[in-house]
Amino acid sequence: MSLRTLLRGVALGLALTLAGAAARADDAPVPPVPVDAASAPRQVLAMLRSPPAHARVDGSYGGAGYADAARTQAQLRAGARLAAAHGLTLVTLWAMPALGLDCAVFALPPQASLDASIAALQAHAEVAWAQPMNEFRAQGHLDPLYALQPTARQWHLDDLHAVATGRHVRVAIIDSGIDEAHPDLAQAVLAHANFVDGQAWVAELHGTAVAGLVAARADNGIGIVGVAPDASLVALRACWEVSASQTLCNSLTLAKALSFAIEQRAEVINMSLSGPADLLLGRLIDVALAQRQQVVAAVDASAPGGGFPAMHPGVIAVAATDAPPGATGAWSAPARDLPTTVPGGGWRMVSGTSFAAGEVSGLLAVMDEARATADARRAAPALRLVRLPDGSIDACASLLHAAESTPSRPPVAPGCRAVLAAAGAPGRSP
Amino acid sequence: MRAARRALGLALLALAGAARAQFAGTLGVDSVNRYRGTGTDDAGPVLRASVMADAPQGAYGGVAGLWRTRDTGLASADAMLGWSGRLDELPGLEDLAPQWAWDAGVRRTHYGHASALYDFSEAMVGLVAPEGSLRTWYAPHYFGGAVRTFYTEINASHAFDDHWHAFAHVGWLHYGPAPAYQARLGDRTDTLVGIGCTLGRWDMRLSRDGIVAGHVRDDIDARRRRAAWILGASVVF
Repeated sequence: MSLRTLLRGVALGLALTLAGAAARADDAPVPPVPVDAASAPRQVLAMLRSPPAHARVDGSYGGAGYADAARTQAQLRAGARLAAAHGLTLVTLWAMPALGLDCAVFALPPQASLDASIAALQAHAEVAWAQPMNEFRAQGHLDPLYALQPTARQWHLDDLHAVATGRHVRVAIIDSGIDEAHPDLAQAVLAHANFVDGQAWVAELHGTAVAGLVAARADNGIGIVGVAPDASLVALRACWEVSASQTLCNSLTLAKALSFAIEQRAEVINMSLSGPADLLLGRLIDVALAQRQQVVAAVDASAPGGGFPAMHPGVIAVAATDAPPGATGAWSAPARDLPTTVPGGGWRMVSGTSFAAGEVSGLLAVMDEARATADARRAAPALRLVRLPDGSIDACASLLHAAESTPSRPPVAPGCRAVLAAAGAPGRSP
Repeated sequence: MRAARRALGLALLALAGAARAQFAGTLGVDSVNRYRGTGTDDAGPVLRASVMADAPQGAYGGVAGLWRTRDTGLASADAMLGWSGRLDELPGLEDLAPQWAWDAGVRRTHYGHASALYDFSEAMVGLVAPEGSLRTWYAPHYFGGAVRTFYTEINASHAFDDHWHAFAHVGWLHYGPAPAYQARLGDRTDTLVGIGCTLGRWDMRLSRDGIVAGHVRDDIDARRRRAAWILGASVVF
């Protein structure tokens, strides 16, 4: 048999098999469709194993990995094949390079059992796991109250800002849309991305309020001062406002936003939301933690253990200072009557652990900058918050610990400025 | 060698028929045909077609053909079989990003019009990183000659967004000792840099390819062989 005959035979065999595969599965690209709250519980996520990037026979040098259209097409075909096999509808496919998997979203027909569909998908070797599309809710109540900024007093913000203000630290806010045009957030948003399919970017209340607590600009003569007024925000819209008091997200939008934050290497990732335990989000959080990103989440006092992702190991769970003891190991921060930014250029009072989480994310950004300016930066220890005897955060001691990178320090508040100066914490140039 | 070719063909057929194998094909056109920094002919634009299959266990394979547009017939054909795997699945490497992978394979290249004189086989080992790869190819009879070669390449790519990406390549071709009747060929270095745009199934690329150092065969116009722009487009199915 000549080589030419052999190659013809090989080509014919592959072409026939390909034709067969194409006949079994809908080969057409699947357009993304909006993932709305009503349909979320009837959707399943299947994480498809993705072959590693490898040499190509077509003369290209390869190595493009997730930019490879051929790879994407092959995964779409695999998703369509799974959908056809189980009577599902492939809604969309999203690459998750941080996990080496592709997330396929399937819609279930009305009569289908969620558990049975998950079990059927998991029986396929190409499916790493399948899970329900979970729904998450932003935490907190946007009740108008009196103008006061508790962290300014309780956390000695003036003293902290004499040391660090979060400069050059990126805080990813996974939330609803942030009002980037708000005058108190001028130049605060470094990058933004919208992961809510079928909806254009829109400024929303919850995300804008959290952003203000993290990074509202200082000394501009208006509004409030964020805990980290020079931090750079990565605004990731994964949640959408369905009413003035309800903001929703789901597994897929949150996973897309987390993947983005991981790729961007944001030093702090804020998730002011809560829902059921979610395997996909848990795996992505593990990736973020493994590369020393700080993940902050709001405690849901009504959920067992504080809810997810707050209860996930390694996540900094934040509860309200005036809340009864709830989630084990949660950090408490001011959560009532917090003035902050709202869409349209205004300010108002908010309350809730969502916003307490934003404050802690800001504090971590300040600590990260202080660490970056300390000699101990080379050792790059994990940031560690320090607790006061009453369980609340000792911001001064936490900052001092970050700056000095000592294994432990006694609580130092009050008298933050004097202690920081005496300890030789790096000061900010005027 | 014939037995090896048959084994390659049979393995490809087995892979093609494997249950749960993923398939991807491409059809494309390039303004000029280039191979590792040099032009292989002077026949203008070329058409390309390829089919590749990936088995879940890591085996992959495929065939590709290249046709000249200024004359008829197959210019060259390639068949490849390989195996790749994620490094983070190996003990002690669990902390690596999942895009890190090892890669190994064999490829057979056949030239249509020039008879089988220039046909050759290569074996490859490589390492894949999140935005790049390093591979070494060993050919015992490069282009059918009596000289063995090692070709080591570093490839990089970076996606700016969902559509635009840039890519770059550097390759070093090292010739082994020549037989007594032939002068030893000098080593050479080639580069390729370009930008691409992906729109759904379509991929468009513009790149500059050429030899930047070392030996160039002078039996064909050396200037034209040294460097060229390549404009290409392909569609995946």
